[in-house]
Amino acid sequence: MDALIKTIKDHDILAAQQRLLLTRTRDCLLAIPAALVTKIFRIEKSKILTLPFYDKAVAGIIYLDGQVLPLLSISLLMQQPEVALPEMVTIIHLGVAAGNAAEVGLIIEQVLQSASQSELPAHTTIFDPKLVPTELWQPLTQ
Amino acid sequence: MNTNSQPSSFQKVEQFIRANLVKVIISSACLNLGLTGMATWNVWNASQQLRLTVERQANSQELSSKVAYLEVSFSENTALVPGQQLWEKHYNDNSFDIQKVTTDMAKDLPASVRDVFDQANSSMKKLLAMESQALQLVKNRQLAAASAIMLSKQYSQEKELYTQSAQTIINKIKESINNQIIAQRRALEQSILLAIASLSLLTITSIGTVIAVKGYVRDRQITQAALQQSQDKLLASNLELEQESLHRQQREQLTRQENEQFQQDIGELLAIVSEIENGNLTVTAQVNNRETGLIGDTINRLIEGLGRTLKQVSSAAERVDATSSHQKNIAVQVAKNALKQTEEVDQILALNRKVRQSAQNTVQQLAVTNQSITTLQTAVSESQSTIKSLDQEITILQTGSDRMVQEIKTLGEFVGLTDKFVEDQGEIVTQTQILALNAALVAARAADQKDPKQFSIVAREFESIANQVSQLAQQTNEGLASLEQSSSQIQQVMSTVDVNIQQLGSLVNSFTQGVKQASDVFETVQLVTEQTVQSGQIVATASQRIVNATNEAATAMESISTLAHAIADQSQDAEQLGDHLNNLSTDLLKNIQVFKLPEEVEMPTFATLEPAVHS
Repeated sequence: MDALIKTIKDHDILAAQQRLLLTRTRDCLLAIPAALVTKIFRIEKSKILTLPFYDKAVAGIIYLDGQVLPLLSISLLMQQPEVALPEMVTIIHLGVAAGNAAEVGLIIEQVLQSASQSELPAHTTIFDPKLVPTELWQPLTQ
Repeated sequence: MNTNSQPSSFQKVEQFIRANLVKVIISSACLNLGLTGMATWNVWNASQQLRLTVERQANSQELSSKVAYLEVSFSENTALVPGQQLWEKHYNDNSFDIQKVTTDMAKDLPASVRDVFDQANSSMKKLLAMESQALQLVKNRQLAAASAIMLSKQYSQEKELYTQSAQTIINKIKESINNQIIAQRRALEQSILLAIASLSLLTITSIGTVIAVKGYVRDRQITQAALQQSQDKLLASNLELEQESLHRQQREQLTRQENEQFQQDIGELLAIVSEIENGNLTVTAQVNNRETGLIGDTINRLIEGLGRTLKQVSSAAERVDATSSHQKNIAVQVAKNALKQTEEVDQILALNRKVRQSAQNTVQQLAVTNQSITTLQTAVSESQSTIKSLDQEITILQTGSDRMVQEIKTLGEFVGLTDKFVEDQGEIVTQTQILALNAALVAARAADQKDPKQFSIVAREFESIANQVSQLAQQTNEGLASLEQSSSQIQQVMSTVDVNIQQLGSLVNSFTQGVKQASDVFETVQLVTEQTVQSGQIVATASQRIVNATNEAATAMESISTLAHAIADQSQDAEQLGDHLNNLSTDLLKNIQVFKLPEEVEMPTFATLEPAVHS
């Protein structure tokens, strides 16, 4: 799976004044455009239903407000080593503006702050939903 | 390797044959007779069969020749010589003959040619019928018709058929007969071979039987020779026995003569012995080269020895009287021993005085020891009370430390609660942060959309967010209150622990003082113990001296006692010895006077026995 994220200089989507949510997963800083985010919430790990026949990056699904929300693990999407989920999991619910990742929940470790593009620390990577592979939503053949 | 231990199979067979020789001969003879008879019968049977077969072949050849002749002599001329009675008679005779011949031939027919024979027979019958018809026609002077019949195609066909069939039959018969001849010849050859084999077996068994019989005869001869040899030996031993018996008779006569002489000598010896018994030692026995002469010589030497001994005894008895003064010396010795005994008793008395003095010293030392032990006892009781107080203080220390452990556990629980509170607070902070970000997102979306309805939705969202924040704040307050309570409890616990520690400090001080007191007491105990040990050593030394003195006294007393016993025994022994010697000497003198001694017996000289005098 290729890398999902490109730096600010190479991507067309980002405007200089757009607000981004700065998050942290393991040692990596990830900025998600606020326009793509519907809401942020925390949920107990026991509420997540795992899907064993799907890629590991698909952490499972939850039932939220009468709808089923699939969850993706940002650390596995960023090809980091797999670790166990904490008891309380922080999820960023992406809205319809997220394109390939619409109505998907991203599992992150911690939400740090809301910041503008110029306020982002160095070595921050920005989330691009176009690069979420569609084959993730297909069950594994073997 | 069983050459020596177990016989070979051939030897086993030979042994069996020898053991059952008659049965083997009879059985071999019967077997041979049987085989010979069977071979003879086979040969005779085969020859008979062969003869019959040869006769049959000759018969068949004769019959076939007859048939051919009759056919030739009959059928060719039938059409040429009609109307002759001789010819008619000849025909009738021959037709009967040919039927008889064919009937005879049918007897020897094999089954394979039975069909051909039947065909020939039918042809023959047809021919005979046509010929009879022709004959009848000839009889009726219808020669042309008869000739027509005889020369007809049917007749010649039937004739041809009959001839061929007859030839086929004859050939088959010949072939069958030849096969039978070959088979019979083979059977005859087999019979001859069987006869030869039987003859060979007969020869072999006869030879084996002859060998077995010869061996049996040889064994018998060997046995007979051995018997003859043993008989000769017996005769020789008989001769030897006769000679031995003659020799024994001569020796018996000699022995009888010797016995008579021996009895005479014995009588003389008995007379000598009776003289000796009566005390006459002047007699002498006769000496010769016989055993009785040797006995007489021995008796003479005995008489001489006895006389010598009696002389010695008489001189000894005289000396016994002379040695009675030795007893007097013994009495002197006894007096001296008594003096020695008195001196030793004085020594014992001196030793007893020493023992008394040592005992007094021991008593004094024992008093000192008792005093030391009393002091020790007092010190021990003091230390016991000190140890009891120490035990109590240790118990109090134990209780205080248990209490402190419990309070520290309580502290640990409080710390755990505090950790939980901190975690909860962290969770609340995170939740608050998320709520704030959500509020920012909602506000941003509302600002983008610029719709009053959206604004009302946003306001509602903010209201719910504010409610959540207030709930979080309330949770925080409650947590802080519980934390404050926990802190006050911790403070109480800490003050209690402080008090307990102070108490423990005072207890430790008192414990230290108690230990010091116990140490002082034990030092006192040690001093007293040392004094006691010294006193004990002195007492032991004094006791040892007493023991030594007592041992010396006992030894001296034992020696005195031994001496006294020895003196008494010696005195008694001396008295008894004197009496016994007197009696012995008196009896001896009386006995000696019975014997008459020869004058030429020499008196031995002995060293005089002087009494031993001890200084």
